[in-house]
Amino acid sequence: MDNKNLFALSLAAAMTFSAPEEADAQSWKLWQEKPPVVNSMVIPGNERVGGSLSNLTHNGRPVGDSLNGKYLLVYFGTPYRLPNCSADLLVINEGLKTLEQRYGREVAARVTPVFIYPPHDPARQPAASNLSSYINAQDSRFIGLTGTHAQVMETARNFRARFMDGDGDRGGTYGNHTRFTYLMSPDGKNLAIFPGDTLYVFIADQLALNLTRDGVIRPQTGNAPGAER
Amino acid sequence: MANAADMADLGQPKETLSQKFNKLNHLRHTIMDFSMMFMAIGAVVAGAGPLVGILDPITPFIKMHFEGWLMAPDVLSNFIPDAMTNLEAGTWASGIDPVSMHEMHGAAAGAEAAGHAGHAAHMGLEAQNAQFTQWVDGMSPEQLSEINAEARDIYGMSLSEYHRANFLDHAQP
Repeated sequence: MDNKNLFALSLAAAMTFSAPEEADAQSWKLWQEKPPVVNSMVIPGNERVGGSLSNLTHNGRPVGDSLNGKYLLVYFGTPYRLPNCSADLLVINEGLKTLEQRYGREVAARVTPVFIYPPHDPARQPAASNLSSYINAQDSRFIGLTGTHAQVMETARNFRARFMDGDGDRGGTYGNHTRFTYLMSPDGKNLAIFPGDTLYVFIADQLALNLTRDGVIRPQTGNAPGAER
Repeated sequence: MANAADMADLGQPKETLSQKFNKLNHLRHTIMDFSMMFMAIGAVVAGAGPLVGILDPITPFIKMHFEGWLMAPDVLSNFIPDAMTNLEAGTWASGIDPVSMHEMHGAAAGAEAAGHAGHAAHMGLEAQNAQFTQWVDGMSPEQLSEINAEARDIYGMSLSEYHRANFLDHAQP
């Protein structure tokens, strides 16, 4: 058997053994760097998730009932340590952009992304960052809400979110927090939960489905899901 | 009278001892490669049974030799001529980002990590497990029970999935 035949035989053997799910070399590389860990990109809404945001403040002013009647995408995080927060907010931002591209600005304006963060405490966050520029860098539609430590922690608990090393009196930096995004209806019901590793298209699709169901997107006049294009 | 085969050999240089050795060396390399692959399969089968992770050790083998094939057809046009050139030069590699032999050893030694191919992924799992253990150890039994119930009832996740979905690598500044 000469060299070329040997090579062809080996190549054929390799092709025979190759696993189809690993055909995408880039996906394979990403998988090695960070294995997928979440078993779902969209978690069904839960009636035990949610609560009033009226006791929090936006730019120092009480929120009150200013968010009533809006669809909300609620995310708990911290502007003080950003690695995954910023990525998650970008995904939310892309989801809203996609919704706007599909159904127009009016429809997208019915959804308000909300970033809830603990108050700045020099003992917990040695380096404060400029929250305003941070949020605006994500999307101008984001609004940042905060309050006292106790208010923010209570709100987080109502949403089943957690600041692991900010809970209780253990100190810490708020750095470890859950990465879920909660889709809330105008009447405060939890419609869906998106894990931190979700994709923006899942956010856009869930918004579209719920807005269509509620009549905000009209199938006969727009590009609603299922409508003729 | 010379026959056709004899005529074809007229004027052709005879194969040198070095060329013969090179051919033998190619064959030896190939046998070694296949031996390693089947040793890796054997390790996984011994560790996890025949139906679990059977393809795992094969994938690094394919990546080691045929990295370019996975990105066909973009790379294939370069891959085969390069591989043939290297083959003729007495080496057995595609020349396109070959995975080191150490990676292959990692796959063979990591039978306990069946379902996760390759040394790097195996090491990543160890780091994740260490973070998870540290996270659990830092909680009181009551807190652990509460989070466990919440992960299951609200998010439909196991405790480890909940941890990895939320906290993995997030404490880094």
